[in-house]
Amino acid sequence: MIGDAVICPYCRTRCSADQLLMSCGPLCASAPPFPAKTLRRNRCPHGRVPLARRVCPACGRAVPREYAEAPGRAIVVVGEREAGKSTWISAAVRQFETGEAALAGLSLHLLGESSRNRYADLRTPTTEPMLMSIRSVSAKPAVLALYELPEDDCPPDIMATAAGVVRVIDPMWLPGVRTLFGLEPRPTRPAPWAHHVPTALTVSKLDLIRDMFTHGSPLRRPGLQDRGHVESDSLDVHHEVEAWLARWGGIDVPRDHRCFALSAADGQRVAEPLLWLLSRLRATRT
Amino acid sequence: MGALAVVGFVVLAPFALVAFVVAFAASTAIGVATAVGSPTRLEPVAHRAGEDPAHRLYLAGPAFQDVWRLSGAAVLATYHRLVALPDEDLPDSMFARMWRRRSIRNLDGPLVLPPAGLAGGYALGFLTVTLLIAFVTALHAVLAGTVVLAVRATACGLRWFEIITLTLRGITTECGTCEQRARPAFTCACGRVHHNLVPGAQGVFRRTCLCGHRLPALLLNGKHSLPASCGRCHSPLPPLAQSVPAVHLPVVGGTTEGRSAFLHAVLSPRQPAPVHRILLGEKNSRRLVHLYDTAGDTFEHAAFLGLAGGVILVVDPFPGPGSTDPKLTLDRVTESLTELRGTAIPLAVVITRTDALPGTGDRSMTIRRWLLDHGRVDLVNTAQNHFTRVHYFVAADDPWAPVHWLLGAFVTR
Repeated sequence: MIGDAVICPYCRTRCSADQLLMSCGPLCASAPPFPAKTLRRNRCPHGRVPLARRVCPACGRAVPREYAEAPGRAIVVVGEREAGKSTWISAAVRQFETGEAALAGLSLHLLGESSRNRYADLRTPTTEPMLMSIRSVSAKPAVLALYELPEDDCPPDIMATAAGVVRVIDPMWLPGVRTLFGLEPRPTRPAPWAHHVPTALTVSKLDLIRDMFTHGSPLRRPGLQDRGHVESDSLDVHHEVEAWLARWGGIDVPRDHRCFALSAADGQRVAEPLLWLLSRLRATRT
Repeated sequence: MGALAVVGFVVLAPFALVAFVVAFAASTAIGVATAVGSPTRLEPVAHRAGEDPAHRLYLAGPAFQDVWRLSGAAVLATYHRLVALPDEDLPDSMFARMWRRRSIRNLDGPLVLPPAGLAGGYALGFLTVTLLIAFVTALHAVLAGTVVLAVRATACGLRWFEIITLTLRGITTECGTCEQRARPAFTCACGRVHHNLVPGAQGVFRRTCLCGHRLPALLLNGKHSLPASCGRCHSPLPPLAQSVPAVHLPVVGGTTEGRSAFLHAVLSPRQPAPVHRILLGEKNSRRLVHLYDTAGDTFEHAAFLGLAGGVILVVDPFPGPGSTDPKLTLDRVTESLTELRGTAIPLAVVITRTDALPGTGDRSMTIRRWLLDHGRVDLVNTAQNHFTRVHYFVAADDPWAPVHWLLGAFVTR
């Protein structure tokens, strides 16, 4: 069954599943889209099979059925420019498709051509979401709309619909690390938005600072992503990174958060923030 | 005058009574004869039912209507024969014939009594005959109603029998042109198209086309041998569409060459076509298999995916440059399937353009392992997370194996 309220991932219009429109197939003359509830025996008003896609009544863009039914949740990936957001998204998707996360039996499937085009071109900054469905055997799929936004320019309507936030932090911008490397300190600014949703504070580019950690540190271990989300390992990482972040300074820590550290370059612990968010949102079994 | 009149009345009253009785007896007898003879003059009426070009079955309705028409005609004929008032245009009624005699019209006083007795006899005779007709009509109506009901109930029963039989046997009619389930239309030898050739008001077992040709209304008595076409787009349906369950299997993925090579191995002598129909199995396990040859670019308009009973995914393990990744094809297919009908169907993954893989034991597991070893965990996971059952094949082993697996073990080539 289609859930009650669907938020269009493109224009953020909230509508009921009944209000989503369907359009006629190529055999019908150009006819306006019609509400899904006016289907008669799954036929369009011309008596033919309509196109499978449902479209948003406000912006007219295709809303994949999986997104409308799940219902899809918005995950916002924020961070300073060049903090490694695109690199992380690309590496995370790859992890779910062919990496260790895939070894846990999870599969990731980009929904719609616009999401696939977005994945093919992550370099261009845009507020276009990437819709994805993450599945495991015999569990309901988790459908996410991933928005990649710079920290200083977050459209409030997207932040308002976010069910989770991944805040990507470039360690080289943190005051403590800069001092350590003998770099000029940069002015820090607080996050312009308040976190009311689960936030994954994610330190990227772990390979650059790995030498700081002792040999027993969980940040030197590869992740356990081939087993999905492992809470004990995740907590080890969380406490370690939280302590380091407190030492380095420059980050205001939201209330509901978990800390992560990863290296997209060598694929270390890349999928963990998403796996944690999925388990927090009760989207997959862990 | 008063006394004379009274005497006249007294004397003539017995004559009037005799006249009344004679007139009543005669008019009743003549009226009955007229009523019985009247139906021969009933004009036949052409009956149509529904929009199909066929005559309506007489016992499915017109018979009942004719009972009313007959009784009306009988009453009218009796009226004209017995008591119709004199009029230039009307035929002679017994009353009119009497009235036209000048000698009777000019009678006065007590002499009126005998003709009045006659007229009263005619009127009572007409009333009696009308009552008789009403009684007979009621009897006929009950009989005809029973027959009509029985015929309509039989037609309805047979229609449902056919629907239930088709449902139980899994026979559905799908048009290959509009790629959706269709109601078959049947063409008479005269060229007229019957869109609703089922038992009903036009015939229980057979119906009569407007050209006079008799057409079977049931698959049991030969409807399946009539030329059938799609009721929506009028393109011809395969001859077996009404008697053999259809299975729709889209063949997706791979390079054009890989897919064509696989299809060529399955359908060796055939020309390339968007859909191939093959009859597989024997007797009750026969299946009309529709194999759709689909390029892996987009499935936005592929309405046939809504009919799919299973999917064959052709995987070219060593694709050339420019060919679509099998994972992308699988994503597109699952997405379109989700939009149309869900992915609760089996998937057969066929590896083409590679030699038979070594190894014994479970072939499917060997091939799955081989795919995982070649880095296609994405393909394997997506397949198993979406579809109810996944089986892996190598085209070089037996190109028919995936088709047979999807059909179930009982169908043999």
